Amino acid sequence: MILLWGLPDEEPMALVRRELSARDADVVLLDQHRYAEVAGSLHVSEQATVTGSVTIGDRTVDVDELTGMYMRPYELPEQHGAPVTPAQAASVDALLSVLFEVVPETVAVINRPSAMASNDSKPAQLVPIEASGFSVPATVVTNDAEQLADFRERHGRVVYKSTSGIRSVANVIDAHATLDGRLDRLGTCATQFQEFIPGDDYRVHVVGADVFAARIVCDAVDYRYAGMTGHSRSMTAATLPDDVAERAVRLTASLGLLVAGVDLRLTPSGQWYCFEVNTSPAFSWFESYTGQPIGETIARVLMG
Amino acid sequence: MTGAALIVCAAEDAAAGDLARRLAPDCLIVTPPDLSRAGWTYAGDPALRRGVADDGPFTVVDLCGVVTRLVAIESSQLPHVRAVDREYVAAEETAFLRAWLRGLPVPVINPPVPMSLSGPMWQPVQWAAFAAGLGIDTLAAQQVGGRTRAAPDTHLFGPEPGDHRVVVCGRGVLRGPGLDDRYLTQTQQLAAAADVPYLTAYFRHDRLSGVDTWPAPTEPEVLDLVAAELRNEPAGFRPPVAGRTSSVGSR
Repeated sequence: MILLWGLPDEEPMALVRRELSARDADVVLLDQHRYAEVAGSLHVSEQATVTGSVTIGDRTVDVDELTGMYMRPYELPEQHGAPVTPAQAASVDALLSVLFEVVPETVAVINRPSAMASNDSKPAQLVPIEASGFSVPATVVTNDAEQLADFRERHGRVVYKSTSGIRSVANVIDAHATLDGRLDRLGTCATQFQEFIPGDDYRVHVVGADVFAARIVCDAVDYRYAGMTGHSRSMTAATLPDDVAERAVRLTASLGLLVAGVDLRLTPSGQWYCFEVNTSPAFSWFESYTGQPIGETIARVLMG
Repeated sequence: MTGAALIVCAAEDAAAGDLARRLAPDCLIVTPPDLSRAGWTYAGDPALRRGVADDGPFTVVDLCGVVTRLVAIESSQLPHVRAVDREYVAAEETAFLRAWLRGLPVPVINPPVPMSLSGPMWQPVQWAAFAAGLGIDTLAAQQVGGRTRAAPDTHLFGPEPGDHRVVVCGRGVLRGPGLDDRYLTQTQQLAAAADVPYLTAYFRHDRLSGVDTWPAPTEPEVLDLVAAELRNEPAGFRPPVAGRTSSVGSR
């Protein structure tokens, strides 16, 4: 049995469901719209055996029947539906979060919440990224204008973006540009600045031992928003050098993840940089461009 | 003692205030609004990290240790930030502190982990599974959610008045007189496996009944323990206190 947790219409979740359905997998979706119908309990015995069940509507999932679990829940209280109170929703979230943590290693979990949280602090995540052998950009997080000026002096063109996992558009400050009030509120909140790394982007989806790389050629600083800023973008399936692919697989495993979206950039001099590892990647967007079977591979992993 | 102890806490944290008085004058306090004082910097090299407390700027070199009494920065702790920005700033400052507090060359009670700024904030079922996996005799644990209602059950994991208690903090230990060494060994085993210097374990009927990694220096003896670790004082005998707890859960 496979347990899914999230919203049925959300694209990566919908794609995984379609792939599982095509293979006649036994699937239960814990739909966040239906939290009022959820009940469950977990029990850890004195011998560390985890048992219990989760029910939604007329479907019950026993923990010992699980072969795979996939989660992409959203923090959207309005999605929980009218009959559920915030306290009920919080108790469901807490139960499911713990369930995803404590099930045995024999269950394919994509991904455990504690491992997913590594991307909630980008500078902290850079430490294991660098340890894996990828180059990482020089980075400073500061709310001090003098420290920023010093960093710009040393690195010239710099990029700034969110420090946390909250999605933000990467912005660039050219080497001799004046800030023109862009960072007037810098003192309120430390912001992450990185040296600008030239090159082509590679989004690498790792699913267990499988690697799906997409090469993105774009003249915008942040290729995700190229269309909004009038820039061009092309995305094609690519093959990584074996050692780079192996490094991405090792990095994913070292972060405790079964599935990850690894953001790489290949410089003109042939150096591979890694900016971050997305621990809940929206792989369906990339799959729609490259046609790579990422959702299918995730479904196969979940089926064991 | 060389350097000051840094306490990272909420503005209204009484236990942090007690600890600061115990450590005075070698103590700095940082509360969430202090993170908006210009001068904070994170760099990969801890020696280059800087902060600003009420008393002024400091560097990691100025510190002898850190106590963190925040799981995360909450938007409600940032009244000086525009309301529309508070959730974002809270997430950003939490991410900043998580990087800033890791890898420091001084004791950190407790170090940040991906889901908390102060050690693992696990649920009882997680601690029970973790401890049983280490071979420690443990009470069974249960968690319910949604429409299910839990029936009170004192046979389950979770500290109760009357449980034996052991507190470890770095090299220091606090336990009741005559308490079996096995409990101390198991508490130290849990702290090492969870990678935290500060951990409280509870025992009932020869089984582990609860674990808490939240640094709670709310009693004089625990204050002594934490202060000694921050001041890098040698571990030594500490006067025994009541062997059984009269209350639990001081958060």
